[in-house]
Amino acid sequence: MIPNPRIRDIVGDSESQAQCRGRREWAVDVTQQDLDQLISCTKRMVAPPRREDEVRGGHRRNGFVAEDVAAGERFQVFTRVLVRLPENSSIGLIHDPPDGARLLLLRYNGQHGPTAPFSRGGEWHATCHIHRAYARRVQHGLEAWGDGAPTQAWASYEQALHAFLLDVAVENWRDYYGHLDQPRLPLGEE
Amino acid sequence: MAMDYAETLSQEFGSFVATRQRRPDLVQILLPFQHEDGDLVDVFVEQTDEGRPVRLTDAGMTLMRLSYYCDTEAPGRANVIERIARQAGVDSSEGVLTLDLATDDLYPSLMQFVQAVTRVSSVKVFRREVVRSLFYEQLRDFVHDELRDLSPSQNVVPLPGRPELEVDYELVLPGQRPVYLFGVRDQAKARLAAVCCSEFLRSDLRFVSCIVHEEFDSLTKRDRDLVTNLADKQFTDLAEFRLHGRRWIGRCA
Repeated sequence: MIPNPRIRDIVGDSESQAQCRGRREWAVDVTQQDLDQLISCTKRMVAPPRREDEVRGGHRRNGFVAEDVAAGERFQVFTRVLVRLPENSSIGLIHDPPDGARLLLLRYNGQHGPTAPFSRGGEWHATCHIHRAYARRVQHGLEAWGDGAPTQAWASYEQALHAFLLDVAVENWRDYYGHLDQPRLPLGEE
Repeated sequence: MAMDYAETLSQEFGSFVATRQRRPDLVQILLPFQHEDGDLVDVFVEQTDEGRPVRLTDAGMTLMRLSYYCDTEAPGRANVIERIARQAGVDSSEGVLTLDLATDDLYPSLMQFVQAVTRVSSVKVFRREVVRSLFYEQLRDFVHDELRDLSPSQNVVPLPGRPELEVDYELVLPGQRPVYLFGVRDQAKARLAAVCCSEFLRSDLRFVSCIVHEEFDSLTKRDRDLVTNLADKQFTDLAEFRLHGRRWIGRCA
């Protein structure tokens, strides 16, 4: 593991610091370029997803572990699909250094509802959307992700997963998700 | 002239509320309550074929969202989630938050439900240590509430001059050997409980030992072997002890 200069040990004598001593947090000088680099760096799946999704607590779940071996970075990817409303889905990338602070970097979400700012009259924005980690929020000690940005890059969970695997650059994704690469004819859907 | 805040809020709140039919029996209520990432708090109304509202539900979204950040089924955290939901008056079985609508008053039920969702959602910021520490608190509650007829004594030192060999709870059955009960959450406590049992046996104390683990499988094989070879009885987790502990103690008598 290469020491990550963007993560620092929590030190200090204040009560809150004392409670967290021994844990790690992201440095306040983390840049958007740092976070974007973690999202886009080439990764290799090292612990594959389960053959079948697990159904737990009302949702289907799966995931895998990936690494950027050259940089010594480790990531977790999770997939979630609500059983009752399958259009409610989320695919996420977590930076998970063995000795550092986990950070949720990216989520590709389904059409589960409107995102902020909520509009007067309850206008319905049934769009898929992306939650991306923002350095400016990390710098202020907030949760990293901001409001969801609507996208039309996909319309289903499978399409979102395909886009996600390409966007976060998992080089060996076809080993386990090869079915996503098959072209689909519009009239071939069941 | 002072603004009529009640009137203004009443009008404005209403203008920010909408509904969407997601399934024939499921209507989503769009309310101006948001999670930290801007997504709305998920509230649905289950209804009959005639459109009569039956219950409020999150359809499982709250725990699904939580699962991005933490293991919602870890013993300590699952207990905390269940407890928070129950205290908020909401059922959390099968990973879905629900609130039955007993009256026609939808509004207070909606507010109660939204509050429950946000409180359960806050579990993600609990540090692991905080969640885990509830194990001992829950064991204490169970012993004092459900086993109080066994005159439980806490932090008992059976061997004079050996204060380091402390029993978490001594349960007394008239005319029988006392039950020495240990709660074990981690490796250090497992080894301390094993040392206690060993020393008590060497001192020819008359007792029956019982260990309640938070999560037996989290111990290494070496520690599992150690406590298994020295303790008279073990429960692999608190749920098992709640289910079968009293019956086992009764069989000791």
